[in-house]
Amino acid sequence: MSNNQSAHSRRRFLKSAVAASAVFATPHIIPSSALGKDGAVAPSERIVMGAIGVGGRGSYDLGIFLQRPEVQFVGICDTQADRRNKAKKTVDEKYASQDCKTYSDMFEILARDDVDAMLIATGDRWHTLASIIAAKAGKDIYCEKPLSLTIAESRALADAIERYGRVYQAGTQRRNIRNFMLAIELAQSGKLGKLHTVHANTLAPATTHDCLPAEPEPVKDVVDWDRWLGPTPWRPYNSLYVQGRWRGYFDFHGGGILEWGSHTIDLCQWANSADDTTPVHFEPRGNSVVARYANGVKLVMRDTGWLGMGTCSVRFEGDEGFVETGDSGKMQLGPGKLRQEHRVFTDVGTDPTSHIREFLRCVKSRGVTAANANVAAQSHVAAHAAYVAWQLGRPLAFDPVKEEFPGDEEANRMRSRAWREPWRV
Amino acid sequence: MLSTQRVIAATCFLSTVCFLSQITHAADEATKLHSILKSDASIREKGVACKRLAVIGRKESIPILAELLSHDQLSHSARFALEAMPNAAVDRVFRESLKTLKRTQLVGVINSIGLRKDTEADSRLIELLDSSDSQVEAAASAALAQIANEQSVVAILQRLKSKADTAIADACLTCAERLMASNQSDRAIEVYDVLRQSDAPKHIRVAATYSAIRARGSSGLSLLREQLQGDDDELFAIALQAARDLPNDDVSAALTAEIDQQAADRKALLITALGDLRANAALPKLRDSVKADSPAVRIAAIRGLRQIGTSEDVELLLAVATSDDEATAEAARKTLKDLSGATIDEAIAEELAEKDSKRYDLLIELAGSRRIASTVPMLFAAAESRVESTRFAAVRALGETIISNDLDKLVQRVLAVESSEERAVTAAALTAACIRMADREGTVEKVAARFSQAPTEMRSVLFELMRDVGGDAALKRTVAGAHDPRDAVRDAATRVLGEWSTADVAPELLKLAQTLKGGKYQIRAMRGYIRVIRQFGLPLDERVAMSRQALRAAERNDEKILVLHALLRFPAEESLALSMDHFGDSGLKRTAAHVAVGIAERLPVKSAQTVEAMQRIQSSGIDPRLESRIKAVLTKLGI
Repeated sequence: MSNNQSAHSRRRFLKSAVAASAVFATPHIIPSSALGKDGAVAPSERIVMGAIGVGGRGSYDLGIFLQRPEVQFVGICDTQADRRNKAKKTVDEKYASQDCKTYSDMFEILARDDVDAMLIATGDRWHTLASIIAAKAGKDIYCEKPLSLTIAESRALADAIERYGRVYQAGTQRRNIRNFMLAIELAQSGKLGKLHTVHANTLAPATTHDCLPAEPEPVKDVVDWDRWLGPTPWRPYNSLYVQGRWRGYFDFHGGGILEWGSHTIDLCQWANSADDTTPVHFEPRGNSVVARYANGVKLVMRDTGWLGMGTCSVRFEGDEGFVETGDSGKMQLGPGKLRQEHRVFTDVGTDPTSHIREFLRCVKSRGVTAANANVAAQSHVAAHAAYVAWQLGRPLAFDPVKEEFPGDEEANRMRSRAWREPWRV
Repeated sequence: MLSTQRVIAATCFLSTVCFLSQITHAADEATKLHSILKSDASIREKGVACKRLAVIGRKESIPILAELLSHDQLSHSARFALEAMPNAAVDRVFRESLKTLKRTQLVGVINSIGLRKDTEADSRLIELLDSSDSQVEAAASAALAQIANEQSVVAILQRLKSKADTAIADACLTCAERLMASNQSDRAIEVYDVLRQSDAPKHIRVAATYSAIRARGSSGLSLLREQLQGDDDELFAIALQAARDLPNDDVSAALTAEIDQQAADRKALLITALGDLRANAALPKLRDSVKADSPAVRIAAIRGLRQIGTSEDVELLLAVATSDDEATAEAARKTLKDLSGATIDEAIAEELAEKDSKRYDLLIELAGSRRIASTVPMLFAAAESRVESTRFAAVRALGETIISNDLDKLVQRVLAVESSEERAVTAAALTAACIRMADREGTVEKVAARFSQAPTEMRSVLFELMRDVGGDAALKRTVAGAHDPRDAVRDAATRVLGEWSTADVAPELLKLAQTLKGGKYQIRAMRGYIRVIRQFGLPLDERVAMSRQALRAAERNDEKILVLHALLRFPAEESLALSMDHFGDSGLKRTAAHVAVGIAERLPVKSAQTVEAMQRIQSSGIDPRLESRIKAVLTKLGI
């Protein structure tokens, strides 16, 4: 009985060592057997996809997916007509056809049997729910970060993905970007000595309960405001929200720790080989939060004092050296003897192409992605717990197994937010 | 190492001390929030009150919130507060409301009951399975699945027999998952088996099969094998996914045994899974498969060798990597780069010594990417090749492999080469080597000294190297270049300083902006300084101080406007104040106003300074387009 149980509850965590050692990855080549006579991918090898949410980020991701020969997009869903029509035009131009369908209701596109996988790039408020709905419809999912707004959402999402045996990749693409992978490899391989502190670049945490002034609500076909709000509390329409100015509002956004932390805390978890756990203690200090893992490693989430390696920087410190890197792709290593580990990468930045490629490979092979739902959920739980500590302004203990703050009812109540009816996990 | 329990216990104590001191405050605050809920306050205010009560609500809050469950606009807000409260009285309120609420409000409460796993609600929820409202029916089945007591399980399985739709099938899956979590794996397996043999939608039966294999653990092998041997591709694929979650020798053996029985596309998937499982016992099969007819199988086998291959595979992989089949060759090259182990390095070094022309460039590349130190003499020899591709590959590899003793040879090479393309390749290799050197400052001095006699046009190569290597000595050398009497040197140095990658360049850029009077280099230095303000991670007070200095030092409004715009990226009271300091400057007035309003829009807190700034801009009438934004800010601030 117990064997069965442990086997079943073996969550699909990261093949960390594999991913970290794959620093020198080269582009995936499509098997020639998959190509038809005209060079097009044979129908049996095609991954048929749809997209939910095609604003700025969604359109960017869509453009990268469209470059993949094995992918065929057949549908676009967005609550805003102008966005879905623009994305349809992009897809149709790519395929020189008029076949891409548009939807304002995600259930319609998810009901299509011919769709294998979904790109989800809505606003943050929808990430968990849309992913769960897609999993329940049997689709594999590439979902932009952050994957959740609360601890409870993170767990519900990971559970749903596992329950339905879906391939999931969170849009935390730095797991497949080589300067970050090298930094992780240095931390995990012991080249920094015994790891004692990992630093995650975050932003100022605050959010607000404010509302923008009410404006007349557009007709549903133009903007479906109720659906845009989704599971979040109802509020009057204002055009700025749907244009993308929803960050910073508590209902829609998890705050500045989560904004970059969904990438950088995630990398710190990985560096500490802690993909299956979280810190056990969180202490707010100004706009920073200092956390500690059960293995004694400290996680510092801070928005200042970085070496200028670019956005989303991380720094890993051991008793024999440190490495710091960021979106510029540059690295600082110390002391001098560690500099020999330095490598100059040309394909750096924030481009998620490798990450998307890995997702598509796993859709076919049923392998485990680098940013699978369980790994991403753990990182997000850590980020949310930090934000709870910051909001309460006091140190908190955290139990990573039960995912609760022992003995602190206020903190525990902040682990979830009731979704607006009729939505549920 | 601290134990989890000790950390938790210690922090609990600290938290409790803090918490006790806050109880009185929280009680007072809750009372005030109750008053808001009972008043004629706006829906928004009441909604915010409910969000706060979700955190600090007390038993006195429950009846007040319960009354709002049937409110048209506040039902969700009430539930937002109640759902978070652990009190049993909340469960009673929710159960009671099942009798009166309708439609979506009823669905909301059912969802909350499900999340709270209130076993006492099971009977009523079972009745609601017969609701004529399909949303209520689906919500009830989902809630029963969360509860997952025996009565709920029986009800859900019973319903599955008559109506195997998505909602009830989903409930079955959740139910079984909950049973597994509560150590009832036998019962869970029963549920999974019923579901996978039901008329439920295909993808849910596939999911049930996935979980049924995993729930059985080591006993799941026969079910796994059954899926692998069946005709259904979806079940075949989900079995491979389950196999990765049950890694053991028997699973690997089962997968290996299937390879010869399956068609090529399935063969490739089996081999991929065996690689992921690091199934060493499958190595002979993978080696055979590298020679398979199917390219997909060949590529899968080559990729699998990346996980489990040995030095014995180097020869085979080299042969494939230099074959004419580009897709297979590319996979082999990647595997050769990634295969780990000193014996692999030795095998590659031995092959390199053979100088086989067909493999030469590839082996040079591998020596570099794998940083095989023993190959350095061979790489220097290859760098003298008459074949350009070989020469370039060797130089690149030297950048990755040489130690400090050999650095000078690479410097000489940069200074000696005539072709601009070869110089770029060599300079990049030299840079890569310098970055790796342990003594960064000493390395920079040594290289700079070698360049001192070089032609002026070579200075840009040196400064770019300084930029990429970084550190105090590199910065000092480049700053000195910015003061050089030769225009070309000043040009190269100031350009590179504007691209410097660490914030320690800022004071130097400011000095240059103040001393290089007039002309493009002064502007370049000032813009470089502004770049640091805008892009680098700096503490707020330092960023504001630097912005103030830049505004003082800048001679042209173009740069001052850039500084003001940079403030927008870091909204704070201090940056708003600094922008307003320039509101009186006629040339900057409009920009300052836009920046101040932009910052105010992003500031979360109310302050007299923000209000005063907005009113000042409003009364000036500087830009009618700002009017509505200022009003929105003032409304947000309660003015």
